[in-house]
This record gives sequence, structure tokens and C-alpha cells, in this order.
Amino acid sequence: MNDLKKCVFPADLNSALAALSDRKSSPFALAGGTLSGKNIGPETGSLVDLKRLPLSAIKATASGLSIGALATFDEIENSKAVKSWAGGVLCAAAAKCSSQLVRNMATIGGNIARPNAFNVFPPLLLALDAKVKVAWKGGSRTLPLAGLYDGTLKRTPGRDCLITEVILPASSKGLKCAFEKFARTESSWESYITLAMCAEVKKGVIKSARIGIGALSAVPALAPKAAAALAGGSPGEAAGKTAAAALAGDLAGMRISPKSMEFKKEVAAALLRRFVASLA
Amino acid sequence: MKKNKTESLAAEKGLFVISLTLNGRPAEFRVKPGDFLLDALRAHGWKGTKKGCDTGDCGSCAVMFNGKPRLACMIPAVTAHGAVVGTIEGVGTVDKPHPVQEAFVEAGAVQCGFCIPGMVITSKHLLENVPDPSEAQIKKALDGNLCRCTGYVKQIEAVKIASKKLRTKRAAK
Repeated sequence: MNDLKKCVFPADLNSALAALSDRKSSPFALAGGTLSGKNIGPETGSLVDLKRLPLSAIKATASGLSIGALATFDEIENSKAVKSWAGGVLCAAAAKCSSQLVRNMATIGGNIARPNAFNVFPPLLLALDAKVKVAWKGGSRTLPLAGLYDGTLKRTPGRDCLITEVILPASSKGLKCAFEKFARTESSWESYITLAMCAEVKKGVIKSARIGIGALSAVPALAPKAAAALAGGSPGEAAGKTAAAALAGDLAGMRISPKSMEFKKEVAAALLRRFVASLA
Repeated sequence: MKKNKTESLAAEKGLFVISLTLNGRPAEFRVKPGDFLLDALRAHGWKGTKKGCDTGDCGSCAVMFNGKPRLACMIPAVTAHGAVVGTIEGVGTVDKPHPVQEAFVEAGAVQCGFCIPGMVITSKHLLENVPDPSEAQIKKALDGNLCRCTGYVKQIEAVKIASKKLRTKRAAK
């Protein structure tokens, strides 16, 4: 960013969006900075520092759980509202991100803004069927999280728009969930495989399930075959085995290095079986 | 330094002039666009903050930044404009060390000493928020502060000693 000519410190969303709309200055927005701070492109002429924006509130409403895009991992991990949602799975995921010093800086908005294979929130938010609110000068839109990665948005967060809010649907509050980051160490930012598993269990029957997969490709993916295999079954060892077999089908469609394919398939199956057993 | 107001800084002759509160006092730094807070601090004489990995992994550059311990090597210097920053120089001195620093010496937690400024910054923040932390809480708070000399046992012991010191001090008031 040696061409940086200007740094803007917006105190409100409109000022931030106005600064980002000044295309001549080649603007770039920075939140926590742990992913992007060291990788700001040399072409960036104007840095838009988001730290002063009032976008870190976390609140439960009738329509769901709203998490401001600037909420840090530490704030999410320690939020009572988040702890009471979906068994506190978002807190568990936040705690598995790198070190405390990083968790004090990194934000949920930054973590989902661009797909990076090891980001912890994208696969989990996908499994929780989260929506994101995105704003730009003169407009805003709420879309499913996947829309950030599949071209639906047609904009680049941090360049010409901002993610302002992550919304978990009210229906996700009572889900039974687990987040598993299989990595070399607890605080390792890398992960061999990340699995986020959510299920709705009623009267001993799995009504529905959603499974998010991370770390295997830059873009997080759902595992629809495994989820379908779980629906209608009873939690336990047998359902776990069936779902694990179906998960292999989901993984087969992903570009995983053949060298580690068998190992990752095995680990993913074990993690899923463990989750299904825990539902009983 | 009005944090509720939109501000804009322009570079002049390739330099930004940033104003911040450093160790409780107003400070002004001239920084290059590619500088990080760590570079800026050290270039302006605040060398207690150490440059270790420079990639956000080791914690030796930890400083207090707007109320929380954060990694100075990950903060573009220009974005420290308006920030409240605390470095190890603001914690204590050789003549008048902070109880956390005393505890690190008493516990023998210092070997080469390179990681200690970051460790002290993080430990002090922990004890201000959790006066009597469990060992698990200490380990979690320090999980981003790497030490290549020791096995962390002495540092954890130091935080426990500091906790006792600070609680005794508070009770005496």
C-alpha cells in the first residue's frame, strides 16, 4: 500500500459507504486487519478504517440473532446472547480461532468477507443457514451467506460494499450443533478439515440437518448427501454410519488433494459419527 | 481525537502525521503508508515492544490498543490515529516495576526476555479483568504469547503470584 494517499476514519455507515464509493481513490476497507492488514494491495489509494463504526452489537430478536459485522471473535465468544444460541456453537467456533491476541482483533465480518479455506465462521454460518446484510452507497441487501461466494452479490465486500450484519434465523436457536476443527494444535490457524454440524432433533427423531465443510477448499460447502441421510433417522451409531457413508459422496465432489483424500475422508466420517452419537 | 466523528488523513510528501494517546500522553508520529504500529513505535524510540515474527503469531509485539491487548505488527500505523495505545514503557520502570513485572522476576519467568513485554501486557490485562484467574484462564489469555526459552510453567506461576500481589494490594486500600 505504498500508494496510499488517504486514510478515512468514518464514524457512521453512510460516511464509510461514501468513502468506498470514491472509485478514483481505489479504496479498501479494513476491519480487524488480521487477514487483510498485511495484504493490502499496492494499488490501494485510500484506506477506510472501520473501527469507529457502531457495528459490533450482538442482540437476540424475535427474528433471530443479529451479530454486528465488527463484533470481534472475543466479543462473540463471551456474548451471553451467542452462548444461548444453538448450544453456544458460535462461541465454541470463535474460541478455536488462532490466539487470544488475534481474537481480540479479528471480526466476524472480516472472517466471512472473503473465502479463505481456514476461516472458521463460513462453514458454521452455512450450516446455521445464516444471512448477511450488505450495504453500499444507495442500497443494501440481505442474502444467504453462500451468496457472498457464489457470485450472487456481484460486489466485493471491503471494496465496493460492506457487510454490516450477520443474522441467524430464529429457527436455529434450538438446533443441536457441533463445530470441529481438526488441526495440528488447538491454536493452529490451519485446519485439516473443519466440520460444522447442525441438526433439529424432535422426540428422538432427526427432523433435518445441515453440515458445513471448511478447510478443504477456499469456498465453504454444504454436505447435502450426508444431511439428507440423517433426516428422519434416530440419533445413534447406525445413523452416524449411514451419514458418514453419504458424506464420502459429498467429499468426492470436492477438489481434495488425492494424497490426503483418504485421511480427510476418514477424519470427517469419524467427526460426523461422533456428532450423531452425541445427539442421542 | 474525537472518536465519534468522521476524520480523514491525507499523506503529505509520502508521510501521514498521526495523533494518538501513548502511555497516557498525547503523541504525534510521522509514518509511511506501509508502516505498521510496531515499526512506528520502535522508530520513535519505544523499543520495549519487540519485533518477533512480524506475522501475528508470536505476541512479542502485544500492546494495549483501545483497551485490549492487540498485535502491533498487524495494525497499519496510519490506523492508530486517534487510538489509545499502551506499551510496556507505560506499565512500570526499573525503579518502580508493576506488580506483574515483579512477579515475573520473582518466579524466574524471564530467560532471554524477548517475549516478556508482550507477556506482561497480556497478563496485566487479564488480571485487571479476572483478578483471580484459574490456570486454564491464564493459559488461554497467554496462548498468543510464545516463549522459545521456557516451558511456560514459570510464566503461569508468575501470573498467579501477580494475582496474589494485586489482590493483597487492593485489599489493603
